[in-house]
Amino acid sequence: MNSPTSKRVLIVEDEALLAMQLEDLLIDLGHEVVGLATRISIAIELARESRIDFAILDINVGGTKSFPVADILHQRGIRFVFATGYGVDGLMDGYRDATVLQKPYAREDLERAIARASCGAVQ
Amino acid sequence: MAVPVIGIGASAGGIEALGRFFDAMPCDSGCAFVVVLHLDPKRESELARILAAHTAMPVGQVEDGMRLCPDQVYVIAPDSDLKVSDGALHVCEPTQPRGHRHPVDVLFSSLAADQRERAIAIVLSGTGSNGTEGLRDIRAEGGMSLVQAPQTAKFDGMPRSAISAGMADHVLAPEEMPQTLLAFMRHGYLAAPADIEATSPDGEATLDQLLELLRVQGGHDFRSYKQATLRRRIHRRLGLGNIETLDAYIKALRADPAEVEALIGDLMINVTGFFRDPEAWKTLAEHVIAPMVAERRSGASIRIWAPACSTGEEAYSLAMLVTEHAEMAGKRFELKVFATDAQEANLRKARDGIYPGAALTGFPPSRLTRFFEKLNGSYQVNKELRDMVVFAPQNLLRDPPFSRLDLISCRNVLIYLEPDAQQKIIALCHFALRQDGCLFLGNAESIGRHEDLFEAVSKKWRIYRRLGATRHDLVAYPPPRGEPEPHMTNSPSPATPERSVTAAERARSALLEHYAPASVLIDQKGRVHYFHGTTRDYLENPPGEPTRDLLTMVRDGLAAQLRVAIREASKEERTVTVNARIRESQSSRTVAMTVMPLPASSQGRYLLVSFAPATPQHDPDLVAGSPGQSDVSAGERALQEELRAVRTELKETIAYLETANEELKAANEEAISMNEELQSTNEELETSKEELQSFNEELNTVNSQLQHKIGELETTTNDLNNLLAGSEAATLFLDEEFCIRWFSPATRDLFDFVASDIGRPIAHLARKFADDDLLRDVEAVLKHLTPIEAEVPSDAGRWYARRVLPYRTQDNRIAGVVVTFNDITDRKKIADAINDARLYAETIVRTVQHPLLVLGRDLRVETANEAFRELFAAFDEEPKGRLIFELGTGEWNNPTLRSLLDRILTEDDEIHNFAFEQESHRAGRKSMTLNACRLPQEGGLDDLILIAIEDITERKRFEEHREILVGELNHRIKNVMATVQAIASQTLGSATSMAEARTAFGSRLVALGKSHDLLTRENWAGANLWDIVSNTVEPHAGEPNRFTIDGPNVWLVPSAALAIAMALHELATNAAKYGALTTENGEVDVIWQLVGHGEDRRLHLQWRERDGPPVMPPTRKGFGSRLIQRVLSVELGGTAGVTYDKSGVVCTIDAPMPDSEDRSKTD
Repeated sequence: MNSPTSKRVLIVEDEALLAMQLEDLLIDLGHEVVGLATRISIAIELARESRIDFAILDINVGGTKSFPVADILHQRGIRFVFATGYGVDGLMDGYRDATVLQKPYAREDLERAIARASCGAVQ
Repeated sequence: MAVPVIGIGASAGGIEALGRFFDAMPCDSGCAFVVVLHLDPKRESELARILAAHTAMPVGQVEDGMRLCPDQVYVIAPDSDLKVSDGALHVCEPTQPRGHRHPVDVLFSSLAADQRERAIAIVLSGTGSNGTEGLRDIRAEGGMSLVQAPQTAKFDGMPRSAISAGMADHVLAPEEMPQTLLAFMRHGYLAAPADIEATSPDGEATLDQLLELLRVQGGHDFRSYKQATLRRRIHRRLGLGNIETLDAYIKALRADPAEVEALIGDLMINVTGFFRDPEAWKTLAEHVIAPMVAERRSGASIRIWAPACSTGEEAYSLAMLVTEHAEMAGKRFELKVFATDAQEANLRKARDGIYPGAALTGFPPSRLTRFFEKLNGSYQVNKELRDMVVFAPQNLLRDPPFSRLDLISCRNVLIYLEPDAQQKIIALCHFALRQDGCLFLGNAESIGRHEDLFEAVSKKWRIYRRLGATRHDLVAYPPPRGEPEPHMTNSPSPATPERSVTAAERARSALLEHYAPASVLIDQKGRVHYFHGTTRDYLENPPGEPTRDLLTMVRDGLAAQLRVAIREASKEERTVTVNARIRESQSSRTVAMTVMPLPASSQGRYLLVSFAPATPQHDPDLVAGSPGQSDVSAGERALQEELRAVRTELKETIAYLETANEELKAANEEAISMNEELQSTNEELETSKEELQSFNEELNTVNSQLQHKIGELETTTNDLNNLLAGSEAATLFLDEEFCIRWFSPATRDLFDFVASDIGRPIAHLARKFADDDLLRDVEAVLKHLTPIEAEVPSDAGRWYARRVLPYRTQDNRIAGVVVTFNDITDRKKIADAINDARLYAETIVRTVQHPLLVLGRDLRVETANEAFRELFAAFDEEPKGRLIFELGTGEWNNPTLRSLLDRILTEDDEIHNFAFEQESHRAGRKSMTLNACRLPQEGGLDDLILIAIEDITERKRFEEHREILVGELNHRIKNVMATVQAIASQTLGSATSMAEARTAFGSRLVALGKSHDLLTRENWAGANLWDIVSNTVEPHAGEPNRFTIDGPNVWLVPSAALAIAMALHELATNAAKYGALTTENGEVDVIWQLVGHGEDRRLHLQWRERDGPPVMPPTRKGFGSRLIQRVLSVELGGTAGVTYDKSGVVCTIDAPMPDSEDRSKTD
C-alpha cells in the first residue's frame, strides 16, 4: 500500500532470518521493501541507483562495515538507521550521532527509530 | 802639579769606617782617593755602590790604566792588586796566594814610590797587619800616614799593627781624618817643599834644643846626625802635626813622649838593599873576600859585622858572598855575620828575612835558589843563610862594638851623621877590626881624618884595610850596657829625709864604732854602697875619675886576695876570710879581709867586706938564710917574697881571667843557640799568624753576610714550623735513603714518632695504617718525579689520601720525598655510599626486565640495560653516550617527547604512558609506552632521567583481539536473539494452536541450537555441508538407510550454514510430519554437487523424498517454504524452490559457490 508516510526501504543485512523478520515488520508498519542486500557490494549498488526513501543498515555485513553505504546515502540525502549488535562503540567517526537500533528490537523500537531519523537534521 | 793621591786601605769593618770618612771628606779637595779593601776574590763587590752613598764624588771600580782625576774615588776590584804609577792606576793579578795577600801594602808601596814625600796613606779598620809594611815605605819616603783610632774601629787589628810598628803619624777617628788631611796638604811641608828651614827666629839654637830634648827624653843622641836631614824630617813632623813653628813643636815634644818616639823613629830611617851598588860589591868580592877565602884554611872562622843593618839585606848579602866564594874555593868556614841595628822593628824584619821579589832583581838564579825559598811573589831567606847571621840590637853611637872582625860593612850610616860622629865611628871600626881587617863604606862616605888608621883597598868603592895597632885612646868606652836608660834619670835611690836620731840610733852607732871593724857594703858588681868606720887604712882613692869599685879602691896588695874572697863568698854563700899584705913604701902589714854575703833582699844581693889588721903569717916560702947575709938576704928575701906574692897574684889573676873568659864564651854560645831556637819558632808563628789573619779577614766579611742570612732563615723556619704544625695534614719528609727528615705533629695518628726517630729509615717504624705500596711508591716518585696518590685505611678505621711528591730544593735538586696524608674518611664514606647506591641502581637497572634507559642531563644515554638492548635489537650501535633522539631510526626524535623530557628536568614533571609506535625491519611494528621521571643524584651530581619503556605490542594486540571477540560475541548473541525473535514471530504467526506453536517453536530452537553447536565447533569460521546435513537428519534417522546423503565437501560461511540448516530442518520436520518419514518405507535423498570452476562454480543441492505418502501442496506458505524460497535464495544468491511431486517433496537449490570461498577441509 502506498500511503504518504510509506517509505521505500532498503535493507542491508547478511542474516537471512533477520532480514526476513525486518521485512515483515516494515510491511506491518506500512512501508515497502524495495531492496535487500546481503553483501556490501550489492548494497552500494542499490544505495546508488535505487529509488529509496530510507535504509536500514546492519553495521557489520559479512565482515565488512556498511559505512561506505551510509556515505552514499548521506550524499543522496537519504535517511537511514544503523541496526547493530555491536553497540554504539561500533560506530565510526561522523556517525556517532546517527540513530542506532539495537538488536533485538521490537516493532515499536523500529517505528521510533524511523521517525527519529526522518525528522532529525540530516546526518 | 800632579794630582795628590790618597791611598786608603781597610779590611773587616772597613766599609763602615770608609763611610764615616767620606761623609766628612769634602768633595773639592782636589785629591784622588784610591780605596783598597780586602775582598773575597770569589764574590762580586758592592763596594763602589755602597761608598757612592756616602760622597758626592764619583765612585768607580778600578780598571787598568785609569788615570787619576781629582775629587774622585777609585775602588779596587776583587781578586786583583792595585798600584799607582805616573798618575795612573794599574790593575794586576794578585802576586800572592789567598791567605798571603797584602793588597794594601802593594798599594801603599807603589804610592810611596810614585808620590814620595807627598804620599798619604790611610789605614782603617781591619784584622791582621795589612798595610803596616806599606806604611814603612811611605814613611821612608817621607809621606804621611793616618791610622784609624783602634777604639773607633770595628776591628782594630790593622790599626794596632800600624801603630805598634810606629808607622802611624796620626791616630784618629775616620770622621776626623779629613781635617788633618787637608791641613797637612796645605802645610809648608807639602805646599812649599823647598822651604825646609825651621820657621823660628832662633833658627839653629832651637834645633839644638830639640836635639837635647831628644837625647834627654828619647835616649838617642842625634847631634851627630846631619842637620839637613834632621831638619827635613823634623819639618815633616811639623807638617804631620800641623804645627807651624819649631817652638810649638818643642812644646809638643815636651808634652808628648809619643811624639818624641815618633820623631826618633823618623830620624833613624835609612835605606838599604841587597848588594847595593853592585860594582862596589864586585870590588869587595875581588879584593877582600876572595883573598880572605884563599888564604884561610877550611874550617877557620870568619867574623863579619854589619852595624846599622836596618832590615838585614846587607848582612845577608855579605853572608851570601862569602859562602859563594868559599864554595868556589872548595872550602868551608865558620862564618858568623853579626848584624846590629838600634831599632827592634828593623831587626824583626831582618830576622824574618822575607823580601819582595823586587828586592832580589839582579840575582843570578843560582843564588836565588841556593839561599831563598819562594813564597809566591816574595822570597824568604832559607835556614842555611839565616843561620849564618846573628841579629842583635846595638846603637852604634852608644854601645860597645864587636871585636876581632874580619870585615865591617858600615854603609850609608855615616852620611846621616855629623863629621865628629863619623870619625868616632871610624875609630870604633878600627878598634873592632882585627889586624888587616877591612872596612866597607857607602859610596858617599869616606874615612875622613883617619887616613892613618886605614889604607885604601879601593878608594872608589870605599874599601879600606886596617892599619896599625889597636888604638885604645881613640875609643871611648862608653859605660857598660845595662846602665839604666838616661830617661830614667830620676835616681832610683829615694832621697832620704833627715831623720831625727833617736837614742837607740846613737847607741847602735856608738857600738858599731867601737866594736865593729871597718867595713864596706858592696853589691854583686863590687860597687861600694856604704862605708862604715875608718876605712882609710885599707882603701884609698886612686887617681883619675872617682870610682866606687872596691877592688880599685883597696890598697895595693889587697885586690887579688879580695877578689878571690868575694868570688868565693858570692858563689858559696859563706863568709870567707883572707889575709893579704898591703904593700907600702916602707912596711907591709897584713890585713884580714872578711867577706860576708848578706841575705838576699828586695834591693839586691849585698856583701859586707870587713877589714882588720891581722897577725902576719909565717910565710912558708921564706927561706932561712945565713946570718952574714941576713941584711942582704933580708932584702933579697923581701924581694923574693914580693916576687912570689906577685907571681901568685898573677897566676890567680890569669886563672880568674881565663875562667871568666870561658864562662863568657859558654854564655855566649848558649845565648846564640837559644836565640836561634827562638828565631825559628818565631818565624813559624809569624807565618801561621799571617795566614790566619788573612783568612780571618775574609771570614769576617762572609760571617756578617751569613749572620744576616741566618736571621732570615730563622724567620722562615719559624714560619714554616708554625705553618706545618698548625696544618692538619700529616706531613712527612723522607730523604733519598728513605730516612725520616722531618714529620709534622699531625702524623701521630699514623705513626708513633718520637723526636729521636729523625734520621731512621721509615721502614723500621711501625705504622698505624695499612699501606703496602708506600716504599714502592716512594721509590717510583724518586725515579720518575711524578706524584703518586693512594687511599690507605688506618687501623682506627679512618681513610687517608696518601700523596707522595718529590722534594725539590731551591736549586731544583731532588733531595727526597714529601708524603702527605689527608683524612678523607668522610669524603670516602660519601663516595662509597654514592658508589654503592650507583651499583645498586645499576644492578636494578640491569636486571629489571623492563627496558630501561638512564639519560644524563644532556639527554645522552648513560645506561641502557639488557632488556632495552634485546628489545631494540635493531640497534647495531652502542646506545651509551648517544643522544636519545639519535637512537635507532629516530623514533624518539619527536617534539612532544623532547619537550616532555625537558620538563622532567626543569619542572620535575613526569612522563606517564607516552605512547608511540615504532617500525623496525626486524622487529616489525611495535607499540610502546614510555614512562620517565627525574632521577636525582647525591653529591652534587646532575640529575638523571630514568626512562622505562613497555612494549605493549602484544598487549595491544590482545586487547584489540579481545575487543573484536567481545564485539563479535555481542554481535552474534544479538543476531541469535534476533534470529530467535524471527523464528518466534514466524512460528507464532502461522501456528494454528498454542500446542502446535510450542512444539514447532521448541524444535526450531533446538535446530538452531544444534547449528550453533556445529558452527561453534568450527570456531564460527563456518561449517561443512556434510556436517550440516548429518546434523539435521540425525534425530529423524530412526532405521538406518532412511537417509541417503551424498556430495563433495562444501564449506559454507556461518550465515549460509545457518540458513541451510534451518531450511533442512524445516524440510525434515515437514517430512516427518507429512512426508516420507511418516511411512516405514519412505526415504530421503540429500544429494548435491559442485558444477563449474572458480568464480562460476555453482552448488546444486536436492532434497528428494520418495516412497512416502502422496503429497499435496500446502494451502499457504509456511515458515519453512518462505524460508527456503526467499531467505535461502537471498542468502545464497541463487535460486531455491520446492516442488510437490507425486512421489514426494523435492527441494532444489542452485547457488553460486565460487572457489575462493571454498575452503576444503579434510576431516
